[in-house]
Amino acid sequence: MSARRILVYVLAALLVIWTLVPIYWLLNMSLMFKTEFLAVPTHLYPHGPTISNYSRLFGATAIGPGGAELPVIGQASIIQNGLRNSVIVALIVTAVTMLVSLPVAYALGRLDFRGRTAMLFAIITSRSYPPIAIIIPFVLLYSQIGLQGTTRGLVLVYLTLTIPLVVWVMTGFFASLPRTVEAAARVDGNTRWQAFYRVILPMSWPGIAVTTAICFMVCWNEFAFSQFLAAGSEAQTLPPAIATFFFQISQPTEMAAVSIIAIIPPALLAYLFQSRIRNLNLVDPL
Amino acid sequence: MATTVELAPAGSQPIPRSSWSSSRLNDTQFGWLLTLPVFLGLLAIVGYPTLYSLWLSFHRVDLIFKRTEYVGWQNYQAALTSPTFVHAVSITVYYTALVTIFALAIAVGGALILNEKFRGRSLVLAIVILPWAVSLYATAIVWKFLYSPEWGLFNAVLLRLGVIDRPFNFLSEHLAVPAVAIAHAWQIAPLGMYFVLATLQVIPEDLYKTAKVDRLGSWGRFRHVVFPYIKAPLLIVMVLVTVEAARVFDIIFFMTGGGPGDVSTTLTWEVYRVFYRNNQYGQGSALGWLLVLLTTIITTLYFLLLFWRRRERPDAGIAGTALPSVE
Amino acid sequence: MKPLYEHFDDLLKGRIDRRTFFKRTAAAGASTPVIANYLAQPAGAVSHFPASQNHFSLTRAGAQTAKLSPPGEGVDTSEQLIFRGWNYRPEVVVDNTDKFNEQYDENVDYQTVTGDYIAIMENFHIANQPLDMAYANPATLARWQLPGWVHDYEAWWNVDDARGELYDGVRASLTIGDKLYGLPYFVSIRGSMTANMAILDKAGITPEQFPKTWDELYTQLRQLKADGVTEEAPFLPHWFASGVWYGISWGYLFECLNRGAMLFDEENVPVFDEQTLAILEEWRKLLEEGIVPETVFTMGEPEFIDAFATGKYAYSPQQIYDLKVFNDPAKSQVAGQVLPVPVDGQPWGLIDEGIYTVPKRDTDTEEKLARKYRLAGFFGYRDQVDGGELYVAKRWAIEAALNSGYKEILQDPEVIEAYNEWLPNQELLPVIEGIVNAGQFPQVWQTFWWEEWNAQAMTELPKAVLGQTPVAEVHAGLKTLAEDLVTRYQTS
Repeated sequence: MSARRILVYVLAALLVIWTLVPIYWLLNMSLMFKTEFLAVPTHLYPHGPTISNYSRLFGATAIGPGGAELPVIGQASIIQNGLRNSVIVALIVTAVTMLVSLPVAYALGRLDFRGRTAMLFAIITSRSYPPIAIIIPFVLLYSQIGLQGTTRGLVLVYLTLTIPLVVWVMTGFFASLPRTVEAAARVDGNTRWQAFYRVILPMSWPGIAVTTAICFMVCWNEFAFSQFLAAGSEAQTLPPAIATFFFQISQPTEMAAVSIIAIIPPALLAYLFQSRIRNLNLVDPL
Repeated sequence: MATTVELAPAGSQPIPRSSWSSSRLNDTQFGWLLTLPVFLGLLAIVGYPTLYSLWLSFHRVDLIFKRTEYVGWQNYQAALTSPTFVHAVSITVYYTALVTIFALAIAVGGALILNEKFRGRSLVLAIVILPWAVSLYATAIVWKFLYSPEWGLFNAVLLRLGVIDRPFNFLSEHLAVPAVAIAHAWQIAPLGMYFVLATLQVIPEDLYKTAKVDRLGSWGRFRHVVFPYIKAPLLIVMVLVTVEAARVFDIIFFMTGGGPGDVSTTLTWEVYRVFYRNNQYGQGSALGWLLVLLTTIITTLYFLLLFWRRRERPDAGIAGTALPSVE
Repeated sequence: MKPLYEHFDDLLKGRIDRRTFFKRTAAAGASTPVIANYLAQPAGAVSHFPASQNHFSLTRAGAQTAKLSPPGEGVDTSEQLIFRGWNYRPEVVVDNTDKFNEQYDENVDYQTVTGDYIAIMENFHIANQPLDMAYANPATLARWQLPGWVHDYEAWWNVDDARGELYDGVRASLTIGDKLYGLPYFVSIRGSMTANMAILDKAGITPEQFPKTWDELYTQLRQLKADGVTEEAPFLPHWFASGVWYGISWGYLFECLNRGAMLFDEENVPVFDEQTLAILEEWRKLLEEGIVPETVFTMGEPEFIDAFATGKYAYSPQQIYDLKVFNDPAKSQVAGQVLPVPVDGQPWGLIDEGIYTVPKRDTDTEEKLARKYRLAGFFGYRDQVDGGELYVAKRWAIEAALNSGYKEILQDPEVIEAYNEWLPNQELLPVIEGIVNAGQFPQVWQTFWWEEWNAQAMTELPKAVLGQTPVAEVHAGLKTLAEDLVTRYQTS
C-alpha cells in the first residue's frame, strides 16, 4: 500500500473518531448508574452497564447497584409528551413548508422577474433575525389571540423559520439546473405549471430530500420559541422538556439517555438523506 | 437527466389548451403569482411582532406597570456607547469567525477524504453525517460532558495518559469561546461536508490528469482544480454557518450561560439578558435590531459576492448553486 | 430574650460589635423553636415601595375580611385550574395533583415550566395567561404582589388557622402589608455548610474542629491545600452561574448576611459597606490560590450537586435538603460521610422558601377563587378530606427532606424517623434544627427590584472573582445599579 493510501485510511479513521467520540460519551453515560457516573477517576466505559435510564423513562422501575429500587424517572410523562409533540410539530411544519416553498424557490431560481432580487434579499435577511429578540411580542400577541401554549402557534412560528431557509437553498438548487429544461418541456406541450411539476420537480429530488431533512431538523431542534411559547403547556416540545434536567435535581445519566433518544429520529432521517446525496451526481443536469 | 427534445427557439409559445393557463403569464406575473401569497402569509405571522419590537426599541417600556415613554434613539445610543455592547459584538464576531473557520475546515477536509476511494467509504459516509442530526442543545449537553473536569472524557483520557496531572478546565476564561465554537462546528460541519463532497464528485477526472501533466502539487491541485469548483457550495455553507453562529443561543444557554463572567456573552445572549432578566424591553429590542443590522451586513456581503460571481460566470446559477454547473 | 432582629438592629446601629452579635444571635437561635426570628420583623418591609401605585391598589383596597366559603358539593369544575411550577420531583407533584382531583372531583392541570422560571412566569403574568396556582420564591412573591398579579389569602376560609400554625419567621416572609400572600411549599437553608468526611478524615479534622465562621473555614481550607490533602481545590463554593437565578449572587448575599457585612440596610437602601468589598477581594484570592475550582462558574445547579457528590471537595455550601442526596448510596460516592456543619455562633446560608401563590386574573369569579383556594389549601395546608393532615408538606419532608413552614412537621414521629433513616447518625437532627433555626432571611427580597439586581449580579460577580474587571469596580457598579433601581421604582 502506498504512503498516500495509508494516509487516507488514517485520516478517514480520524474523521470517524472525531464524529463518534462525543456520541460515544453520551451513550457511555446513558448506560451507567449514577454512582458509576460519579466515580473518580472517571470510567471510560460502563463497568456495570444498565439500560435502566431508558426503561425508567417508559414506565419501568429498576434495581439500582445497591439493590435499592429506582423509581420511574419523574419527568417521564413530560419527556414522552415532548417527544410526541416534537414529532407532530416537525411533521406538520415540514409538510407545509415543502408544499409552500418549492413554487416560491422555483420562481426565484428560474424566472427573471421584477422584484426578484428584493425578495431574495428579504429572505436572507429574515434568516438573520434572532428569535430571542422577537419572542416577547410573540408571547403578547399569542396570548391575545389564544395561540400561546398551542401546537398551532408553534407551527406558525416555525414556518417563519423554515420557509425562508428552504426557499433559499432550493432557489440555488433550481437555478443550477440547465436553462433549457423548461423550454424543452414546453415544446412537449406542457404549460409553465406542468413544466414545473412534471419536469423540474422530478429532477430536483436530491435537493428536495436534503431540504426536507433540514426542515425537519430545524423544527426538531428549536428551543427558544418552544421555551417561551409552549413551556409549561401541553404543547411543549422535546427541547424544553429536556431542559427539565438542568434544574435543582441532578439526573445526568437519565439526561444522557433522553438525549440519545432525541438524536434517533433525526439520525434516521440523516441516514436516509445521506444515501440520497450519494445519488446526487446521478442527477447531474447535463 | 438528459432530454432528447430539440430545443425550441427562445420565445416560442406552445398553444394554450384552456382559456386560463399559467403559460399565458409572463415571467413577472407568474413569478409574483408563485411568490406573493407565501410572502403575505409570512408577513401576517411576523408582521405584528416585528413592528412591535421595532416600536419597543424607540421606547422605554415597563410592561409590568404598563408605562411607556418615547425616547427616540436613546436606546440605540445607550447600546452603542455601552462597553457591554462592544464586548458582546466582539465576542459575537470572534465566535462566528471561529465557528465558520472550524466548520469550513472540517467540511472541506472531510470532503476531500471522502472523495478518495477506500474500503468502508460508504460506511464512513453514513457515519459522518451523524452530528448534524444532533440538535444544538443536545450538542451542548454532549460537549459539556466531554469537557467537564469532574466526569469529562477529555480530562479522563489526558489524566490517564499522564499528559496532565490535574483536571484541565476547558471552559475557562480564555478557552470558553473556542471550546463552544468547536462543539458548534462539530454539529454544523457535516452538512457542509456533504455539500462540498457532492461538488467534488462531479469534477471531471480529466482536470486532475491535466493538473498532473502540469506538475501541480497537492496544494496546486487544490488551489487550481478543486477550489474553483467548491467555491459555490462553500459560499452557501458559509451563509448558513455564519448566520447560525451569529445568532447562536441554545448552545450558550446550555453550555456556559454566557460565562464564565461574561466571556461568552454573545449579542444574542446579551439580548436575552437585557430582555428577560433585566426587563429592559426597549433596550433589549434595540440590541436585537442592532444584531439584525450586523447579520444583515454579513449576509449582504455574501449576497454581493454571489452576484459578483454570477457576473463572472454568466451561466452559473442566479443565487449561487447547491449543485455546480459544469461547463 | 430579645428576638434576633433586634440584635441585628443593635449591630447595625453600632450598639454592639459583631462578636457580641454572633454570641447573642446564637443564643437566640438555639433557644427559639422558630425558624429565623429575623422574619419576625413587623411587616413594614414594603413600606418604601412607591406610594404612587394607586392604579394597583386593587389588591390593597378594602380589607377583604369577609371569608369565602369552600366550593359547594355540586360546584362546576369543568373549567380547568392551571397549576405551574418549576421542575422538582414532578412525579410527586403529579401524584398529589391526582389525589386532589380525585378527592374533590376537580380538574387541575399541572405542568412544569423549565429553564428561566422567573422570566417565563413573569411573561405569563404580563400576557395575562390563565394561571391559578404557581410556585414562587420570597423575592418573586414580592415582585408579583406589587403589580397585582396574585391574590392574597385573606378571603380563604382557613387563613387564620394556617397563619397560626406557621413559624413566625415564615409567616412574616409570606406576609406583605398585613396580608398573607403565600402558603409554604418548603423552607430550606441554601448555603448550609456541608462537610465531606471522606477528605476531612484524611486531614484528621473531626466534627469538633469544623469551622464556626467563614474566616475559620477559609483558614482551614488554605491549610488543607497547603498540606496537600486534596490535589485539587478543596472548596466548592456557591458560585455557579449557569441556567439559574440563584447561584453566585445568592452566595454573595448569604456570605454577607452571615458575616454581618451590609449590602442593604433595613430600609433596603444600598450600603455596600467595606466588609462586602473585602469578601469579594477574599473570593478573588481564593480563586487565585486554587482553593476553589474555576469551573464552578459554568456549572448549573445539578452539576454543582454532582460535583460535590463525587467526593472531591472537602466543604461546600449546599441546600440543606441535599444532605439526603449526598448520603444516598445511589446518588453519591461519599454516602454516609457527609455531615452538616453546625451553627455555632455564626449562621450559615440563608432561608430559601418555595411558596404557593394564587395568581389573579380578570376572569376570576368568587366561585373560581374558592376553587383556587381549595387547591392551594390542599397543597400548602391540610388535606381536609383525608384526615385533615398536612399531607403534602409531610410527604415532602419524608420523601425529599424538604422542611416545611409548619411547626408540626418536624415534631411528627414519622418525619423524624424518615430523617434518621438517611442521616449518618442520630445526633444530627438537632444540628439540622439548629442550622434552620439560625437561618437568615434577606430583607431585600421583599423589594420589587431585587430580581433585576440579582440578574445583573449573576454576571458581574464572576467577572470580579475572575479578575476580568477590578473587584472594586464591580462592587461599585453593583451598588450604583441598586441605587438606580431604588430610584427607578420610587420615582416613576
